[in-house]
Amino acid sequence: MGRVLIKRLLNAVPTLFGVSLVAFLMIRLIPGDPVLLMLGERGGSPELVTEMRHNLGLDLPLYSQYFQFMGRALRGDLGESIISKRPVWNEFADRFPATVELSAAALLWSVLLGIPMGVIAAVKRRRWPDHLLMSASLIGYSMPIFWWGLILIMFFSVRLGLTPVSGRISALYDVEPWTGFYLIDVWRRGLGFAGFWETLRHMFLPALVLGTIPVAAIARMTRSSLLEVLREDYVRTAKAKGLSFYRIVFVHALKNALLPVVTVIGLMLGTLLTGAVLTETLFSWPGVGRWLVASVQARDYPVLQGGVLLLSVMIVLVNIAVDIYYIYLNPRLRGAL
Amino acid sequence: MKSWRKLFDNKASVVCLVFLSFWVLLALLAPVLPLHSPIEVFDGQQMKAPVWAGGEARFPLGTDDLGRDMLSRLANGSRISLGFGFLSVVVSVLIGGTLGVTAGFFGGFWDRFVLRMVDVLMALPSLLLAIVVVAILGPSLWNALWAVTLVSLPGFIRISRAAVLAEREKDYVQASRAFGAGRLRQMVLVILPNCTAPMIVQASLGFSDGILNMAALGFLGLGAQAPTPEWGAMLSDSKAYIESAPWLVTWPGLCILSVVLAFNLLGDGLRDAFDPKI
Repeated sequence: MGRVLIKRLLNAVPTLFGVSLVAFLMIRLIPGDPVLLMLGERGGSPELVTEMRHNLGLDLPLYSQYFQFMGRALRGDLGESIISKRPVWNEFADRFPATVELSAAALLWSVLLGIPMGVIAAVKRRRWPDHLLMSASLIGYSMPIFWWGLILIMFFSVRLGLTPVSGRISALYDVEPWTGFYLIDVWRRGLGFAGFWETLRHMFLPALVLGTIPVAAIARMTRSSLLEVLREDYVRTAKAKGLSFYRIVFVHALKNALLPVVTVIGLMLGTLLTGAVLTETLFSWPGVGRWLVASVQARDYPVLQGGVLLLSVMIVLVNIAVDIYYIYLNPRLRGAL
Repeated sequence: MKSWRKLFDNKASVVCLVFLSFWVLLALLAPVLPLHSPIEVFDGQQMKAPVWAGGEARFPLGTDDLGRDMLSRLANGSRISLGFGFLSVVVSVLIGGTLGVTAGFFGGFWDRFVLRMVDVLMALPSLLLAIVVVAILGPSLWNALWAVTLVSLPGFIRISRAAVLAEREKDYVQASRAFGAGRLRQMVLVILPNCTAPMIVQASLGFSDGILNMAALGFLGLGAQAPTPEWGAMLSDSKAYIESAPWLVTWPGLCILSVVLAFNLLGDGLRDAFDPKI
């Protein structure tokens, strides 16, 4: 186990280097002077320009800029936001739990719905449940989710008045962040079930929107993977033994069929953690995605640079974790551990 | 050619092809059709409902918040979505295909280098990567195109590389080598024609990704800028009128969804037709 982990981590080093180079070069590739661009209409005295150039390390030769950037980044210093003047790391840490909470909710419902959808489609192959479910998931897969979100707001919030349109919780509840996960924090503040319900209501639409593409992808993958497994010899053996079809599917085939699904879910985890960009923007969800879009619009380059670095490192690590979990799950590969 | 016949035997694929031909025709003909200008503002005609909901026949699909004809904006929007989707696929095929084919053919250091680049590109979720590119180049329709193209490159590189690797050691390639075919000839004339099937499938899926990502950037205000009639940007402009003028939100989204759906379905059909394994 340890050996595989070390090997994977070593393998990731060049990728991480490339990623850090992308984050580093980003500011420096901007045509024109990034400092003047950042100050923009806000303007600034020549002293301020010199100071910012120094803070961003833009007054050094390129290679020492990179070493400075990486040296600071490894110590957790990702610079300061130009807008809020707070360290990028703190800004990130404030917003990350919101994104994780939303992603987890989205992933949870997409797994709970997607896998049964795929199983039913595979079991009822080429009959109406299969056609219905697979058409639905193809539509889900093709959905422009920012539009889907608007339509859901139109229906649930505007027409039925069931759910709030934006934010994590209504302003009446003053939740002091503790873990950053509101579903937990509301209890600590003594807001009890009312606060919990309020949080869930706020989460409902964003999680529904964010999970739409994953649910479609999981359903499609589960179906094709299960169909493939059902053609295997051991399934035929089980059939010959006289086991019932449903026992074969649920006891024997499904466990193996879910292996590739795990990979799909793992790949999606990274996309969810950051890909919430559209959903968060649409629902004013105070997470990492909306933060990064806002930083582009405000030309807050240190935030963008730090955010990109953090997220891509995280995705590389998540992918390694998924790889290893996959090996752990698949007995045929366990020899590699 | 058997594969093509198989494609045309698939009803869903044929429906998609017909549907997409309609869109392409509309996109090509939009300037000569008897439509209002997509950016012409009709004073006092703001937010007119579609004709069946009490609107006027002059504006069959209604008007937007500034009093511009929705039908014309949607039709002209198809020029942008399909046109830029097409450009993005062409550039991705050319660049991604070249990188993938050479990486697969030559192997060695070049192969490892290209694969590393792919890894780095894939370490960032596609939309975020596109946003980074737009942050560097500045928000505009053309910059959004480069962003979307860069994002789609890894897929094309991997597909073409895998196809070349599968073909490279086959007998007919060795035969051509024995007959003295140079590297370029082997690559372009001998191997490449046998790698087109996965590339065609990928191109169809690339179309839908490209259109979705262009619209997403437009929606975030990082793509097409006002008053360009781009579907994503139109959606973002109409967000505020979701209660008072729901048709403003409905149409552009339906256009995006239907085109993307058609390309995805066509992609599935192409895969079934070209790849008997799956």
